[in-house]
Amino acid sequence: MKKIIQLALGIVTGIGGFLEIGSVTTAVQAGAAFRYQLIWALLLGIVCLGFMLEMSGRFAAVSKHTVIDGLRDRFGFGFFSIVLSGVALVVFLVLVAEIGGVALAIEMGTGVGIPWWGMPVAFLAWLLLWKGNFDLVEDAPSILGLITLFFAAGVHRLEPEWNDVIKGAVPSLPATDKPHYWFLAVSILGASVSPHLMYFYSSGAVEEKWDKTYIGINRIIAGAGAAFGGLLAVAVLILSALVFHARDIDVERFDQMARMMKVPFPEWGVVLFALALGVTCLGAAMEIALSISYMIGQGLGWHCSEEGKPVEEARFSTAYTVILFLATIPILLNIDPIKVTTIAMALTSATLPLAIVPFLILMNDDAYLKDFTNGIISNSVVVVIMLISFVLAAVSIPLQIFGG
Amino acid sequence: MRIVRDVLDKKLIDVDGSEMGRVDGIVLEFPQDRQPRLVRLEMGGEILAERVGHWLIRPVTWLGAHIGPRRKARVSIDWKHVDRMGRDLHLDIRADETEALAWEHWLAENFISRIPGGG
Repeated sequence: MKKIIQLALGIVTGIGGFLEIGSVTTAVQAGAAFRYQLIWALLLGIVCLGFMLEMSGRFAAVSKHTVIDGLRDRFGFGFFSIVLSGVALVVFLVLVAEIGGVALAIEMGTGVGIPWWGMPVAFLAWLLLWKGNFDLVEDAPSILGLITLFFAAGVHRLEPEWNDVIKGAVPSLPATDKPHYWFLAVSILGASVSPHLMYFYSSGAVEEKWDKTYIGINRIIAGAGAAFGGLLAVAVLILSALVFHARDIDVERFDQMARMMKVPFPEWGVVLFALALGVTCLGAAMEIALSISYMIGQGLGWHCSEEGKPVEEARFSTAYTVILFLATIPILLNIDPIKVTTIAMALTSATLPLAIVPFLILMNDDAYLKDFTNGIISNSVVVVIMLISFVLAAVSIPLQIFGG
Repeated sequence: MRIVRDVLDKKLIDVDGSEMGRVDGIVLEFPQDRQPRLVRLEMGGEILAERVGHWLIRPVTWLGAHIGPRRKARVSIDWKHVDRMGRDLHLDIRADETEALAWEHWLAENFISRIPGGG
């Protein structure tokens, strides 16, 4: 029974892992600018994320250690510190974007500007971490996140041309604005395959004391979770294509994005969009603050757990407190959350090899995984997708910067 | 046993099963006409700084001397206290017999326990 509940929750957690400011923003921009043409990038992201989550869960279940533990003791502190600082810096930008996302959602509801909400939002996230335990952090946002099912309902109401949608699953070149097209493909991949999710997922598996009996269930949670969250992101893309692309609207601000839900749900659309955005971004902000703290703490061998009282994990609690506080500073300075998101997603793609290559070496090391090392399929899928996103990032980021 | 593979960077677990940090450095002794010997394990920010780059040593040492618990720059653990080896190193002493948790205790006492709900 316990495993069935964990299974259900795990799949729903896919929403929290997948749908957050990064994937919402990139999916909306992609739908508005290129209609269904970028669906393939989202599908690639879903597949890659599913495989990577499965791996991190398997790593934790077999070795009883997290991926971070493995990175430090397999590669030594020097290399570990390079990976850690690279990933942590990029993920920190994502955290700023998530807090900005919640602030935006509240702004839509109240009309009071974003800079005012950075601190209260970070405080709320901090309070939930301080008072709650791992289950709360993982499950509450996920269950509230079911509100994002309205994106799927919206698509259903607007009746897209499914033949065209399916064509979007195959990559094709756009008629105009190729640099922007590839840049968006990169951002979508970066939004889908965030390395912190592997660290968070494996830390969760260790906190919940997974063992080898979880290998099967882990496969379902990882696969179905990524698919569930990812397909909702596809729904966002389709909605955006139906509402914005059809009307030739270029989406640059969040208050414009909310109109996407106003067409299928004239009365509740904006509120639904704000709620969905607020809940998923808050959940993601908590996950990221914890992920960065796990990265530092597990890397240094601290006792890290979301289960006990803060005083029993003083360094760990200090870490997430400081991280959340630091993330409010850019919001106070009135940065544009969409800009931060776009930059953070592209940087995630560009730095993927840094996180993935050592991770794959670990996943093929039988000192950790005994008889459960990666098979050829897992290895090739992740390597291919990583290379695609890296090459696209290397080409399109300079194009985007110099092309304006 | 291979020292770097099996000892360096491994997590240290004390006799009560609590995590007490990682092996940041190793001290070897080379006595004349005898085999080299592993003498002790060391932990601390200064040692990690040495491993990353020399430019980091001074700022880290300065910080350690001016903020926090101001413990000795490095925590040393005699090799004889290593009880079992595996994925982690298990010791036969308690973490509190060393200064490994100085920062943990300092933060707990000075900050975390003073925030409502912290303790």
